[in-house]
Order: sequence, then structure tokens, then C-alpha cells
Amino acid sequence: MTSLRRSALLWMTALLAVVGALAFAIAYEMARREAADFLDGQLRQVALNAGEGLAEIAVPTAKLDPEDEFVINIWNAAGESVRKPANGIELPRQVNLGFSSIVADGEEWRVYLASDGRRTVQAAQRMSVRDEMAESAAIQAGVPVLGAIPLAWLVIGWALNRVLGGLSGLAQNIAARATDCRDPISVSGVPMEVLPLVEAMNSLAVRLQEAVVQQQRFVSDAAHELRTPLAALQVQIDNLQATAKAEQAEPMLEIRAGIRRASMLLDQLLRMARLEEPTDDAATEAIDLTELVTQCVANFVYLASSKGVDLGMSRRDSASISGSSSQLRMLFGNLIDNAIRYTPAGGVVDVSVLRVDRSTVVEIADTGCGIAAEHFPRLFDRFFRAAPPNIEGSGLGLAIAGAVAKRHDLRIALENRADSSGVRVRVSTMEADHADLICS
Amino acid sequence: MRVLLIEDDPMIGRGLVEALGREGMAVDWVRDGTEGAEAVATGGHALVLLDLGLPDVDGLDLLKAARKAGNRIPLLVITARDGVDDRIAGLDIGADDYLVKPFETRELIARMRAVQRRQAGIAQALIDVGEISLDLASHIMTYRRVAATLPAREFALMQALLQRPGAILSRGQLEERLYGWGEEVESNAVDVLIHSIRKRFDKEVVRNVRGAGWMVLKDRP
Repeated sequence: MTSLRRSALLWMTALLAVVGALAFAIAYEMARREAADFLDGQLRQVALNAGEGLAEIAVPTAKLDPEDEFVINIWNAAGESVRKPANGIELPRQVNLGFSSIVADGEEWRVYLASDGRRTVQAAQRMSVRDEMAESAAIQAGVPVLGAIPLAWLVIGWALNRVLGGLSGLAQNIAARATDCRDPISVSGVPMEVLPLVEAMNSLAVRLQEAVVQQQRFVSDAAHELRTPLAALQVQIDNLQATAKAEQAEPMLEIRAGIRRASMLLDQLLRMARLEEPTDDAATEAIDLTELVTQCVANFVYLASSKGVDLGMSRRDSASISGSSSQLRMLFGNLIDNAIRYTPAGGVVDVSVLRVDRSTVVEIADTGCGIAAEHFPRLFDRFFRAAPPNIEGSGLGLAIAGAVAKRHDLRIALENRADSSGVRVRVSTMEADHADLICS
Repeated sequence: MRVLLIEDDPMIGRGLVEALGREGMAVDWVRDGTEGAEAVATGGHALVLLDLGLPDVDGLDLLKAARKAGNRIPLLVITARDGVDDRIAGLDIGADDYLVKPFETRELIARMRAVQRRQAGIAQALIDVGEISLDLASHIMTYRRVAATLPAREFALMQALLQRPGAILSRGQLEERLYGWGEEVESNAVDVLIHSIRKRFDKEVVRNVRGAGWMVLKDRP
């Protein structure tokens, strides 16, 4: 993955290194030339002013770089050496007057030879002195630039942190968005360079939203379309029944059950699709929750009695809620339906509406087979069925209940009962998180 | 009874013609909205079965136009749409009943009869819910082919339950209906009445919902 910070630091380091190296090279070259002129002049001055020289012992010692030393020879008109260099370095006497560069004993020397007829003076100095001066000048020019590299790291790091810090706020904003949120991501405070990215995200979100809406419409259309052939099938089977022989009764019942199942699945699919449509606040109304739950119980009286399940209500505290009554009927209907389905003949399904402090709990307890521990995490997944295969169901009941609960800020908690076999489902308004204390 | 069926699906159309024919009805079947509108305008049918998803005209528009023209013919909508809005629209515009596909033929026939009875003005004199019918004039109740004349209190109790079929009425709600203000109510009065009604017919005629109250089933099981 590319890191903005790493790239910026890398490029900045490269730039400063190049600038530093260039400064070094230029300073080196310029200082060398400067030093050459200066030192040639010095050499000449030394040659012109050289005399007999002082006795070595008389000169105060000083800490000097031997490299910097001058090597001076003086000859008289006869060509005899009048003065030899104190340091004992022998350089050959040059032929041409003036400056020349020679190599002696593997070292480069700059030599100046002057003569007035009576005396000939030769002054020489190592060339490496010039290189040293140039180097030191170059280092002075280059080092500060190179030294700026770690400083640049600090400054760039800080500046990037500031800019990217703004982006992390944006990232949190995006991460916290609900999938059905239709408002565009706010661009206020977004760095100009990142603006195109945010705008592209917004446009992608719009397109995704459209795709989702189309998908939902497809599910809903498909479910509607499937109802017509199903109705045709139902009419035909009803007609067949009128003329059926006795031994055909059982397969007829099976076919009817099949049509009923398909029809129920379509109903659930349509409900699911409808629940995924954006919330319509206008559908919110004040609802007598106790009445609504009682009505839901009433809707399942026939199913329960035909299965031999004792469906009843153990408490009916008065409670109200605001929301969509049709959706809440789906929620409690699905939960009661499940409870009856999973409870064998002779079992009991108890529905209660409880007021606990300022919150409300609707509890549905059955004496069915319970839920295997490994199924709990997937209970609210679509088409997931924890039921034994002989129990009919679409696998959408809890998914729908979950979606309705989410829309109404309700919490659904399922647990296996401790006091008997079976499941206890609790739908509570959000404040009732501590309701466990009150319900037995 | 002559019935007009407006339905584009051939399999449903053929099936219904056969099913209704077996019930002694004469069925005129048209397959699109234009023909359907003409047939409705021509008249001569006792009842119309209207599918909403027609190929040329929206069934709801057809219904709207007919009602606007003052046509009061009993009309039952059969459709694959079941959105709450569709339902309300269907009834507001003047459908007499509404049945969502797929449906059982006997349910359709029961609804057709109910629509017809309502239209004929019998509704005021007879409450017909699921397997129970209660004659408001003679106090004769019929349940699963057993008929009996109910005494006043039992009649009042059944009337209360039948006015809200499929809903649970609590003991308090029933007592309110049975007794006037200030009248002494015995604690087990409702139980006694229900016991008596069940004895006349069957235990299942009035269902007890533990902890909540009593009810009669809305639909024929």
C-alpha cells in the first residue's frame, strides 16, 4: 500500500540529498579554484621574500600540519645550495621559472621558481593542501543542507499529521454511516485535494443506493409475479378436489400444503422487501401495545388449538408505544408463530406485556425444543433455520422481526429457558436493559 | 347467478370458470380491461371479479371509472398486490372486498356470497362470521349446521363477540356489553353464559384465550 507520509518523506529526502551533494560539489570546485589562486600568490610571496632562514632551534615550536609546510630551496649563482628545507624533503630543482606542478616521491607538489641572477629560490607546497581547503569549504556548504534532512522529516511528519488528522475525522464519519443513509458525506473541512475523492464516494453511494432500490424492487416484483401462477395452481387443485377419488386425498393435501408454504414464503419476502424501503415517518402512530399484542395472540388461537398448544397470556400490563402498527404486528406475530411452531402438542406458549420501571417488555415463552448454542449467532440471518427439518418455516421470520425491532429501537433477546425446556424471547424498549432482574 | 370475471391469466380464468360453474354460477370471462369495462357498463351481472394486474388498463382505474359512472354493481378484487396502500386504495375506490392471490376457491365463493348478501341489505339482519351466523331478528344462531335460538344474555354475548371477530374480548369488556350501569354482575356470569353456549353447540364455538379473554374465529378454518 502506498503511504502518503512515506512517499513525501522519501521524495523530500532525495531532493535534499541531491541539493546537498550539488552544494558540496560546487563549493568544492569553487573553493579549489579560489585556494589555487590564493596559494599560488602565497607561494610566490614566500619565494620572493625567502632569505637565509633561521636556525631550526631558534624557532618556537607550533603545532602545524606537516602537510601545510613550505619546502624552500635557495641556490647561489654558482648553483650551490645555500639553503635546504629544514624538514629534509628533497625536491629536484626546476628548469623553468614560475609555477609548475610536479610529482616527487609519489606526492603532487606545486612549485614556484624565481631567480634574480644571484640567487635562485624555489618554494614548493603539497597540492593536497588545496584539496583539503576545498574539502573543508565543500563540507561547510553541503553539511547544513544534508543536516536539514532529519529536520524536514520532523516538519513534514507534523504537517502531514495535521492534514491527515482531518481525514481521520472524515473516515470516522463515513464508517459510522448507516447503510440506508441517503445524505451525502459532508465536504466541510475536507482538504481540497481530497475533495474529488469524497465527491466520487458520494456519487458511488448514490449509484449503490439506486442499485439497492432496484434489487428490492426486483424481489418485490418477483414475489408478486409468482403469486399469479401460484393462484392458478390453487384454483386447479381446488377443481381437481371436486372430482378426486378417495386415494388422491393425501397427495392433494400435500400439494395444498406446498402451495401454502410457497405463498407464505412470498408473503415473508414481500414483508422483508418492504421493510428495507426507507422509513416513512408518517407511518408512526401512538399504539396501545397491550391491545396490539393481544390481537396478535388472537390471530394464532386457531393455529395453537389445532396443534394442541395452550396459547395464553400471563400478564397484560397496560403499555403504549409509537411506531408502525402493521410492522409491530409482523414482529410479534412472527415471534408467536415461531413459539407455536417449535412447541410440541401439549406444550404451553405464554405471552406477557410487562411494565418495568419506565420501560416495556413483551415476553414470549414456549416449552419447545430450545435453541442449540451454536445457532444463536445466526438466528437473525435471512433464510437461516435452526428448526428441525420437520418444522415448516421460511427462515425469514426472525430476520423480519429483527428489522422491525431495529426500526423501532427495540431490543430482542432470545435465550433458552432455565426453568423448563423451550425459549424465552424478550422484546424490550431500549431502557429495559436491566429487565432481567424483574422477569422470573 | 351471473358473474363477470375480468382476469388475464388463462389458467386462473379457466379454473375459476370451472369452479364457479360447479357452484351453479354462469361466468362471463373477459381477458382485458377494455372488454371488461364494456361488460361492466353493459350490466346484467350479479357480481364482478376484477383482477388488478390487467395488460391494458389498471384494474383500479377500471373500478374508479365504473363507480364514477354511478355503477354500484358488487365487485370483488382479486390481485397479487397486497401492499397496505393497495388494499386501502381498493376499498376506498369502491371495491366491496379484496382477496390476495393465491386464495382457496371456497374462500372466494364465501366472500362472493358475503358481498352479495351485503349488497342485498341482508347484512343488518344477519351477522355471518366464519362458521357462525347469527340472525339479529330471530336470535337464531347457526354453527356447523346446528341451529338454536339464544336467550337474551347469550345472544348479547355472541353479538359482542361477533361484532369483533378474530379479536379477544376480556371479561371486563364482555361484562360491559352485557350489563347496564349499576347492575349487579356476578363474578362468574360470563363463564356461565359461555358454558351454556358451548353446551348448545360445541366447545370450539367460543375460544378461550388463557389470561386474555374470549373470541370467535374470523375465518373458516
